[in-house]
Amino acid sequence: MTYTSIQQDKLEIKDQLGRAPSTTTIGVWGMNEDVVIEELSEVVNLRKIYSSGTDSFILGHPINGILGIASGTGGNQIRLGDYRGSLRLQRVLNPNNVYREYFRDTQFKHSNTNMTWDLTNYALVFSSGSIGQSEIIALNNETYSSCILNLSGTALGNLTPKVSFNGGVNFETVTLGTPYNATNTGTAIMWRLEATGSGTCTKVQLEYS
Amino acid sequence: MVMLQEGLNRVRDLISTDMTLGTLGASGTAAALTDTNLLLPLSATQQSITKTSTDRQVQIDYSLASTSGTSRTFKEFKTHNASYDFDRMVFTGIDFTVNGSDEVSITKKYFIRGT
Repeated sequence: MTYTSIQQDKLEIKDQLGRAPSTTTIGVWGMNEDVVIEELSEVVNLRKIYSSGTDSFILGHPINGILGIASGTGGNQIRLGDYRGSLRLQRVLNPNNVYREYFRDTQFKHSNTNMTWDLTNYALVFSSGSIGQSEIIALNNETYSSCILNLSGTALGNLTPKVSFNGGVNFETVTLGTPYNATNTGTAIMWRLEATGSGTCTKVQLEYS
Repeated sequence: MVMLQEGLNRVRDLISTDMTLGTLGASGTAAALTDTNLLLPLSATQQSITKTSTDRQVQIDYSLASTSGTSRTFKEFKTHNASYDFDRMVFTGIDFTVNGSDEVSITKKYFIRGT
């Protein structure tokens, strides 16, 4: 934000009323500082609920009376009481198709990651041979074919950055800060960093289309 | 001079406190700065949201039970309170049936960045 001394402005204006304009400089402080509220990812999931009774345990029932083994009349394993299945990812949206990762949580940490996803120092700490990989960071029933990947941190030259456009089937090596057109287009984007030395990554920003 | 972490986290807390509700809608029209509501809001989907804060970041969690809401194709979502709308998000439609077999879960994060 830029801050102008309103009080000083008022004095200058007051001084100039009815007189020749003054040449006195008006004091201005330039803070050159921004406070930005950034929207990060929105994730939409569905979760299966087995609450209709068709797969619930029923004492003495020839099918629904056997816990955990038989398939109930609804076609699923018999559960005791209501049962909530695991989340099924439907959409991952980012404002203006720009994903940002600040390492404040592990929402997008893939199980392949053996770099240190450091939630204390808010960074991805890497050493030679280690891997950092995201879960799907863009998914909206549309095809993606290009991206620009940017990283912040130290010793980023020790990283080989890769992006997958097809949900991790193919990872393609990209150049940081340079537009990249996918060889294998797809509907689900992930990123992957492979380390050849040590360093720290504090931000991942991936623009895509 | 620099905006302090403490100050940025204060901004985060003010936003977090003010944002209390989430509602789904059925319009796929792109979001615009001048929007003042969802374009096709589905009031039966309005739910309280939970919030989790970490350094300069707040995550909101919205959940719609399988027995709540209305049977529609959801295409938009907003965060808001009783008086103000904060954010409208549009996505490719997701079908939902009341008393069906699915519940809806939405998470959204905001980050307060100083330079």
